[in-house]
Amino acid sequence: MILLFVVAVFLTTVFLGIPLVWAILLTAVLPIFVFDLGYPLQALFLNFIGGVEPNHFLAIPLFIVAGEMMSRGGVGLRIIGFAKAAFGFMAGGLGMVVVGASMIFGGISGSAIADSAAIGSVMIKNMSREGYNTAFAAGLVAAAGTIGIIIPPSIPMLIYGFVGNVSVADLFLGGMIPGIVFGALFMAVCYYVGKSTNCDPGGRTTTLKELTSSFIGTAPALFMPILILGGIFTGWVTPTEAAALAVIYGLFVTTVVYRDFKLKDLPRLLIDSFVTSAVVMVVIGATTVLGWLITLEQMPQILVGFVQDFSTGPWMFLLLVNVVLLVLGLVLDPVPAILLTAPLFLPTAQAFGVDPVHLGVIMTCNVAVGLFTPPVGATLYVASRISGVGVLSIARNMAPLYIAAIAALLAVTYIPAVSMGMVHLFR
Amino acid sequence: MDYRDHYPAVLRWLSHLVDFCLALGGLAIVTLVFCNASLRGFAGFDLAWSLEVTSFLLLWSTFIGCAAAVARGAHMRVTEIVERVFPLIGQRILSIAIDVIIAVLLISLIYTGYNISAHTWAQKTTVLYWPVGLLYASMPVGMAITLVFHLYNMVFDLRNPVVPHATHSDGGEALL
Repeated sequence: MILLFVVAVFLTTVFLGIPLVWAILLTAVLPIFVFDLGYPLQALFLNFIGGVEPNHFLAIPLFIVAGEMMSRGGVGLRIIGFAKAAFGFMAGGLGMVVVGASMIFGGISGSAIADSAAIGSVMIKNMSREGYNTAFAAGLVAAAGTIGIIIPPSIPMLIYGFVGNVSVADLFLGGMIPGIVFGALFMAVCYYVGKSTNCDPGGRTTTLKELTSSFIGTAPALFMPILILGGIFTGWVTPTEAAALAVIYGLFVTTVVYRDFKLKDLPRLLIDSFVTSAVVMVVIGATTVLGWLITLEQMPQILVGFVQDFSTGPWMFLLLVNVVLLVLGLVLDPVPAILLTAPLFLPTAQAFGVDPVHLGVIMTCNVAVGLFTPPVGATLYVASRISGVGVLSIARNMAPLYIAAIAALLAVTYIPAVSMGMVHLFR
Repeated sequence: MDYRDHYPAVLRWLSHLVDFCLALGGLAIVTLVFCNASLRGFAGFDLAWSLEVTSFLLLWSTFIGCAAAVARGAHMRVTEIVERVFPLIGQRILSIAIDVIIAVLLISLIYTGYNISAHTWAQKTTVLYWPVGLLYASMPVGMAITLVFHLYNMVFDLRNPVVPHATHSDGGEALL
């Protein structure tokens, strides 16, 4: 009964437009009064502070600072130049440039929104000029941008790792192949569209010299994910220290090597990043409050019992995870979707023998798809703003991309090797 | 929407002060974590006090950052459904009701947060012997600044025909 009440209050407050942090706190406070549970508010709100206190959460603002630093200036343009040299000769080449550049940029920024904005601002106009349907071009930017949170470093994965006590290094390893699978399937769609509509039949030539020089131009930026992941995997630094290292390296690359970031802009960047981080962190704090109530009222156990009755095995459970997250993803952003469902799904997953890393990768891929599904899709809005095409018009032209995303999601869900292969290789 | 351009001088000053603290705190966090990692990697020792300082900075930057996000109208929210279901007048009434609910929640957070901080003031942190209550004071202080901005935003919304806009974030970047 309380579980149903909690779900109803949460959905109602979110749909009514109450900002998420207050909606989650209200969801935690109301049952105490309605069901006369007798918990003091002091104990409840102590969790609000405790939720943001753990030192490893420092990685969140630091990765945001590093990503913002690399997103500003000309890093995006350099990556697009390299992707053009690498993919431009194929049919649907311009679309592939969008996908390829998004995959590379995702490894640097860790943000789907930054990814879509940086790539979309250059490529939507380019694709439109070449004869692509503008709505499709915008949809491709929205979909490909979300690979940014699947390919490491990924902030939703970082948060899942922290709340679920799962190795961040394993999660980052686990995200690599799924990111490539999503990218490859989106590229296949580009090939099909370029060929079938004849808007981009390919045939451009790229010399080895062009390819090499564009790679050299991008190499300093490309080294950033290698530095982060290498540092974490070798055990040389913790994820938090890797994030600080990324900030210092990003500062060096953008100010000394590329010279497109001025030190006088640093305070503005820090303020913007820490405001974004605060928005995420208070949601984490509020979710800790709700999680505390959920645990005390033994709701995960109720849910595990229900799901075990309903599901005949891990196959069915994983289908349920996908359906729930895809539906939640229609209206929720990645971080709250993961924060709210991870504590409920994790015990059930363990009961079914599903590896927590595999579950984390599945959840991240689902919330990534949620970023480009209407009515609430952040990268869809970015693409809409850049292209001037309405969100629903873009979504209508994205059918092949949705099919590709669902196919990739099924592969990640039901072929554990896709996400766990790299983990087993390096574990 | 970003309300800061409409703030009177005092609130604008407060907003600048919050921004200044965020920039300074952010710089201190980056520097401390980086120096600590470098010292551990190259010199074989680290600064035990840095963990306490960075924890302190994280808490304070989070809660005053919450106030800065309210001033910018940057908290994650979903308004797309209300925009499609309710007429404009209904959206405005709903927006006022939501603002009142948030104000009540903020007052209760400030009151409870003050009690938590006062009760833990005598406890000391392990390395620096700072009062634990000073760490916990970040919440009531941050929520008090948030309430100040929120109340002004509410008055502004009442005086002007403004309905809230959706704000989203993927964790890495906010879309305002």
